[in-house]
Amino acid sequence: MFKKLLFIILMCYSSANAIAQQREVEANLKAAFIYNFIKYINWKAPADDPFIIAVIGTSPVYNSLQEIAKVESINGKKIVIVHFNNPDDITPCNILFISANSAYSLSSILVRVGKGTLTISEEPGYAEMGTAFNFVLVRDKLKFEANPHAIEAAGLKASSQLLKLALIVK
Amino acid sequence: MKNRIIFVVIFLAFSYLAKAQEDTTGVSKLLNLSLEELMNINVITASGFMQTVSEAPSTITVITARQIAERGYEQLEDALRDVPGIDMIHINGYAPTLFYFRGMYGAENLRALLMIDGIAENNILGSNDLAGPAYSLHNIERIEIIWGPVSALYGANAFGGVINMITKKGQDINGIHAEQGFGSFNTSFEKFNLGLKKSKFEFALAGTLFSTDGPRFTNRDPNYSGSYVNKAYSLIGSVSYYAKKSVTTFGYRTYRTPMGWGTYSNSPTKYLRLPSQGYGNRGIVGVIQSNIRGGRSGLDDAFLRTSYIQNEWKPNEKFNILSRIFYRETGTADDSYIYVTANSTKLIWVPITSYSNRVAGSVSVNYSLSKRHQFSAGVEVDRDNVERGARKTTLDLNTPYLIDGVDTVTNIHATYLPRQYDIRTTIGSYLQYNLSTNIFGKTNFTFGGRFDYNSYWGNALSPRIAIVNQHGKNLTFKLQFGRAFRAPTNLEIYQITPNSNFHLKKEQITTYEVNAIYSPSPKVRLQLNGFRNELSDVIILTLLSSPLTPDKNPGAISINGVEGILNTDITRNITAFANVTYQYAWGKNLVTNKSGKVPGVANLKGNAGLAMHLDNFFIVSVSGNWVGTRPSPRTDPYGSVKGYFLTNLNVSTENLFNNKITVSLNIHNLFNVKWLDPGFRTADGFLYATVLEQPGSSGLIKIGVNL
Repeated sequence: MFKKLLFIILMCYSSANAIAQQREVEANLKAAFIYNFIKYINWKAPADDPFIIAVIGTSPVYNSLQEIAKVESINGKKIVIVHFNNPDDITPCNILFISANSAYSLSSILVRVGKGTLTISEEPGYAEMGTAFNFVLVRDKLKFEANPHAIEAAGLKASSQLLKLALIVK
Repeated sequence: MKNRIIFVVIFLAFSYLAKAQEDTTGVSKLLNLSLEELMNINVITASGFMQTVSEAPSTITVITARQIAERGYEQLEDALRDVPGIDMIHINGYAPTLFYFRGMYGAENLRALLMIDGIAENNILGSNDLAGPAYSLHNIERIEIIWGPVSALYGANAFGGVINMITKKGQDINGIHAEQGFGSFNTSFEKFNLGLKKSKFEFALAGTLFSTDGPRFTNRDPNYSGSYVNKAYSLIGSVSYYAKKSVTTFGYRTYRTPMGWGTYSNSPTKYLRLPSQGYGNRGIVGVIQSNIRGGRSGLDDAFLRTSYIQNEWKPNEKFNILSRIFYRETGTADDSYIYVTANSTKLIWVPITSYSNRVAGSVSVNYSLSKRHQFSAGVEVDRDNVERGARKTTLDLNTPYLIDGVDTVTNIHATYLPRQYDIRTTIGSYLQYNLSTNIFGKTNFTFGGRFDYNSYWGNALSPRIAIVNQHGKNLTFKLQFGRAFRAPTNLEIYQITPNSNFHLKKEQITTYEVNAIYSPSPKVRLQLNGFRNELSDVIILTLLSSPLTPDKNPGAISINGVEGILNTDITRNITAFANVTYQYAWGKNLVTNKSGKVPGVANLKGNAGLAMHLDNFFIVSVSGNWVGTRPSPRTDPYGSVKGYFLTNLNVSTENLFNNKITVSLNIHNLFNVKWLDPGFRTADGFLYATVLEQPGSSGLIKIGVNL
């Protein structure tokens, strides 16, 4: 009986472990996408500022971005990853990643985002509601929607190569 | 106590091994990939774990939508031209080009499965339809070619490989895309894609309309017009509903390709009182290749129609079930015909038709017990209503009719006799197990097998084993073994004398393969493949058609080959590919005891190409296809056909008017090289030509609009 029980516990553990890993894989992938996006955006930040990527809401993407910040830089600028708990915490940043776990409405976040910040989300319909980019899962593959109006409204310019790969939301 | 310790050790080992897996999907590794590569990674694959082409337990070539656009591929044949391992014979009519996977000459286009979104598209009857101009690539997200025998998963005819064309879904299209093209030989086409995803519904529709006069081979006939395609069309549509944990899709697609018979047969130059067409062809027997009786020379009007409904249910990341039912009709429409002469004195009008259908259902399950253990299993049932070869007709060779004051034609009032058909049932089931370990870095083992029962050809067991070792970040080794089979077709079965108690067996293949993949950086990928194909029970058409020596499965073929492949991003704006193939194919006829090199297969060949993005405005792509000398069939008096090198150029715009309009120019055979393909079948210069002439330069200009 003990063996059976232990076996079941082991299997449950390994299953839970695999699901957790799967989430981490997806988070890593999103972080890699975000890092790639940076290369295709015409940024207007002062040259000596660090490059700030912020995450609002709890998300494993934060940890993945931290990993990137340890080893990469943007045109010689250090990457700094910051975390906001709620919309009131939002301070100027280059990228704001809006976690699906964020407990706040999108509109309450977007009204606090200033010009020059690229917003990236991971909830169906968020690009249509005003984020610049939104991750979507299409047949098991991670794709991204782009809202050209939101990018323009942020005072940024995305390269056509990037937009060509995006699912454009009007 | 001892048992408890063992369990704890297993528990810890489990955790350690699972942790070890994370290295391959770590963020540092992903940073080396481009956006397009990231977009191609399956977050969750059918087997429940993330897998790249290198990790897959097969040899896979992937052609992406970007490559299709950059290189100007319009139809499947264009894309296959640049990959290693495929020999082609271009007939310029009568169904599309013949493809031979890795030296497997013969069994025209029957030794590979063509799939669209995972549903086999091959003709049920077994005529040599595989793609063609109606199979446009404008709605294709990517083409996956799985090399080698994969009957262990897909059953019959996944013999030399599987070509899976993955279509763009509504969300990929997200709007309307339309194309209009014009080209040499009075070619014109229209294509469109429209699609969107709204809320829980996704919709996609794509279509083509293609016509051409085709190249002219005036040595066959000054008025040659046999390579035309007249309004070939396709329509592909799907509607999907996304529930919380499942996607249900209803799809329909239809392809119709009315076209001439091209250079399928010799020109009857003696009957036409024309000079010989050359190359040792006799001109006594043949098929008319110029317009006659105010109509086309001949017509091959092939059609395929598929309807399906499927449900992908994924209650969690570890488990999914794909259930599918489809109904497919294939055949040659009853307006098809040829004018043939057997003796150079009179023509015989021969109507040609066939119709077959298949009802099939399948369920496949993928379960990921953990990152180490994945299982796949499935069951498939097919019921074929398949015509007994080409439909019989009335035959009157004794009543001559004088047509246009010139041609003596018989049989012009022939009518079809009632359709005769067989009902064939196939039941197949498979099981596959993947084991991931950290032996020698990371080593994955795949064990699989499929059992099929068919009411005609009996039982088949197709095993498969693959070992994939990833040694460090840059090096991957694969060892593969597999067996597969090709089912005899009703065209083959009914070529023999009626009532002869003749029973064909399946063709069998055993393949051994070894691969090494080296990526010194994310921008360079080198691959070396070595393979051996052993074919047995090979069906040979010419022996089947002889009532004197109808042997069942008289052939054996062995092919050894090596392929070298390089893909590289030279700079951010320049990508390049190159591949070279060496293969040696040897065949033996066990009835005649004659053996020799397998015809139509070049020992050496290669392809190379370069795509450059200029100023973010133009994409210039140049590619070259080199094919070495190819032997011809033993019965061919012409002998070997010398090799050729063709250069292709594609120039296309990007970002014109905010990417709303694209313009492209494609030139095939840029330097107007004269080249020949070897003749096929007997190629004896009697019914079938000794060699097949090929067109010189041809061009195509295309305008696309995105709305």
